Amino acid sequence: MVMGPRGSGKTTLLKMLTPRALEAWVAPQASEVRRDIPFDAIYIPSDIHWEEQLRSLSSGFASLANGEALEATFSQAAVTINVLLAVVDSMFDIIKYKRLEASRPIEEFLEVVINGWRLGGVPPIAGAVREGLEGRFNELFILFRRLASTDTFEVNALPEWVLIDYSAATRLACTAFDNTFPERAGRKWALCFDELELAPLWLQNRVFRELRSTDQRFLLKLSTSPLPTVGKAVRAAHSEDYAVIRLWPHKKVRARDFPSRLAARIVADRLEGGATLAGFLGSSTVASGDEESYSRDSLTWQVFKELAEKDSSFHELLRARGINPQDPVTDNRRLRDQLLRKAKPLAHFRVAWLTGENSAGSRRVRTRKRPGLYHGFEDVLDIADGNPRWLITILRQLLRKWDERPERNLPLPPEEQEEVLEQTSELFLGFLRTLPNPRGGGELGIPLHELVEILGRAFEEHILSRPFSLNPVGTVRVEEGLPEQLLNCLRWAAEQGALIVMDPVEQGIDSGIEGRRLRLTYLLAPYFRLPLRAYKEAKLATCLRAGGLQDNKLEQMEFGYALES
Amino acid sequence: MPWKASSVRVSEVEESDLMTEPVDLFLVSSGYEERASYSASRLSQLVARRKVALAFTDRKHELCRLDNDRELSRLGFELIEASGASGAAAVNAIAAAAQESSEGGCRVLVDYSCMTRVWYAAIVTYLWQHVDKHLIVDFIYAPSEFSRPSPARPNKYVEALEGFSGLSSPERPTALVIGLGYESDRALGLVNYVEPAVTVAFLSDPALDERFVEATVEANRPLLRSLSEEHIVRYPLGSLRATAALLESCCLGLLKDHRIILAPLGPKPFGLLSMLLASTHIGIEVWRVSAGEKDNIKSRKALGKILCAEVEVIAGLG
Repeated sequence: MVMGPRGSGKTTLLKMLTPRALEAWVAPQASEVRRDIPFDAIYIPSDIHWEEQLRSLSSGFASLANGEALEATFSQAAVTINVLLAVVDSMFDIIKYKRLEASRPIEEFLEVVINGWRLGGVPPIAGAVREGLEGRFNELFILFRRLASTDTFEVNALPEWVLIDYSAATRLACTAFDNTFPERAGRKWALCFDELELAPLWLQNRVFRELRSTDQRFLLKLSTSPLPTVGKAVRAAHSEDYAVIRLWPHKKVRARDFPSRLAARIVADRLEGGATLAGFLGSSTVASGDEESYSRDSLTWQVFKELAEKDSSFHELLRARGINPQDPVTDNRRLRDQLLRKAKPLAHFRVAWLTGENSAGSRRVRTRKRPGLYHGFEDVLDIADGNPRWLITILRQLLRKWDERPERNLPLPPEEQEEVLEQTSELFLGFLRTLPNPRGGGELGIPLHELVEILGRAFEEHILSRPFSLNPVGTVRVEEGLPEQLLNCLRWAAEQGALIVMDPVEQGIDSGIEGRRLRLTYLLAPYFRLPLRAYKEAKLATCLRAGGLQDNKLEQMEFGYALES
Repeated sequence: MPWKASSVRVSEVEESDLMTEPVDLFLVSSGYEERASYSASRLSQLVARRKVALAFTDRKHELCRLDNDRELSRLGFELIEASGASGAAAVNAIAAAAQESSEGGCRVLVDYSCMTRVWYAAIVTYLWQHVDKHLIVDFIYAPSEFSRPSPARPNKYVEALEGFSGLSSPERPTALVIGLGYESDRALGLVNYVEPAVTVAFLSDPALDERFVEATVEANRPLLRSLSEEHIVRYPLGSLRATAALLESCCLGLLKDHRIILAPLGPKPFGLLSMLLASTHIGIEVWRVSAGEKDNIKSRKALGKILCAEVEVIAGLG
């Protein structure tokens, strides 16, 4: 099971398993993978549009006496057509790309399929079988329209093909295919269900039940969101029956491995003369771990000194640990690691935005763009947060900036990098503002962008305004007992990549979000003036209140409209 | 019952031509917008066998609602209460007119200027479901004077309009055809959500007031910037026939390889034309995008024009 937010590459990964994609793949390891891959993939597509079509189909029967039975039948019929179309496409791709030799006329194989799938009248030609299946979408829709305007209708009166089961029909076709092409005997078939979170619950349950399928010829490859709303069978499935691949950075996975290779490739392809990613973007001021940066008169030394002058809490911290605030340097390696290294990113941020303290000792925060804190290859990779779509978007903008420059010197100036990163951050928040509620995900207690803005404000306050701490609050833990509407919103935020689940369960998939530790995606860090670090956790409700969530809002979510009226 | 009309004829009609023949039904709505009673007053000399005003069950005392009720009653309209979320009252009124009309057919005048999308969607659906009734409907629309758009609110619901959904293979890429409105980023939110393979934006230009064009461009600047020029179609709102032809030509070009979602976010006539087109083609759906229940209300004043599209649905598939 491949899990990840939007843009994390789930669909690309599943599609890459298909014979067509493997054939088109150009890479040093491609021919080896093509040869060794132990299955043939059948890619079954899904998307928001398809989800809405199935929802409309189901809701059309709501007023009928036997509406529930019809709803289930039609939903299953639509899924069956979709799966069988994928089966046909894959089989003919296999024949084409693997140049299989048939042991009997292909027409015989097609006759078996046509009979089994009740495609009466369709000639035994591959294209005709496909057309016959596609036509069934229309036929099913016509039936739907007719039945939805009648009072009652018996399921038994429907044409036989409407009742075909996708799994049985697939097995029938695969058996006939293997009998026709004996050279692939023994190879497995992989049913690849994409975007399973958009599928009807019955299908999610069914697919998970089939993880323990008795037919060993079939494998399942699934993709879904980080915290899908799943049915009972999914929750009950034994985690040893499946492996999970999470496409976002979390405690077990570094965010820079794949993205750095992808970014290096994009930059090398685009720039001449063997340019590297580090050459194009330089190194981050904040993230670079250069030992020299802690020496006297270094930039970091100056930052510490300046901050100690305008932030008495930092001054006090240095003094208490035996470091002179006027000359913040030490030869003690342990002290440097435990204090200065940890303080460095926070000190940079506070120096950039604090103007000083008022008479009561509170820190004053100013608004300022381009603080010089987000640039360099490390920051670009971290801000993309392991999401290939975001990384590609950012790199395209950076390369465009470079194209527009009269001089082609490398690296691209930090202020131009920062402008791109800030704009991308704002654009993502704009995207969250315009995003509608999820279908079937339940009511959101609070608009998604508001949740994100409240958390961002709370973290910003801890990092910039409160007394200096080496580990300020920068993440949240979702406590038990929060309103379901708020949990829906968190789930939706994770699906969009706005919130990152830092500690997914070790085995299997998370059946809920309670107990999980979350952080804002680093893509939003430039907007909220946050360092690219995961700091200490606090309870979610505490953070929401600190970030300005209205009084009683959580209670209102709990009790619906009772308190509003 | 047919499930898709085979063709819909849309022709433009001059206001003066509306008065030449009596109609079986003149259907309007009464709500809080000042323009709700505009066409009824302007066409007060029209001979109609029956005059019905669908009066919203909510906001009965807000803005110009009471004035509209009074004016429409004075003009001889029967006020029938109707929920904005149900097209039943609109359909019942038309069905009754069709029932009572002569065998030669039935002619209905519908002012949809202030109707909910659900109401005129129900009327369009009724039309293609009852082609045997020989119905001709003149849809009339009183454009409003320019007023600044309300502050942007996030999209809450994005879904197929009842009766205008579809079913097709998800393997076919989606083409999203948007009739742009002037609410900020509504269209962009839809594009981000659906992630279509192709996006085409219909921009009302020329509009009846140039300020609408400026406001629409301003509200959709990021989206328009992301589209190539051939994916931005400018249509003349004043000519429904030309707009219908542009929309049909665009959709038919896309239909071969795509599933099509029509999303009318702008002027109502574009929404009506979207529904009429979807009612004749498999593979074209009409979606609604809404910020939810809490719409900001505004009393729009009529500009002083009436746009009329005469619609006749012809035959249907079994």
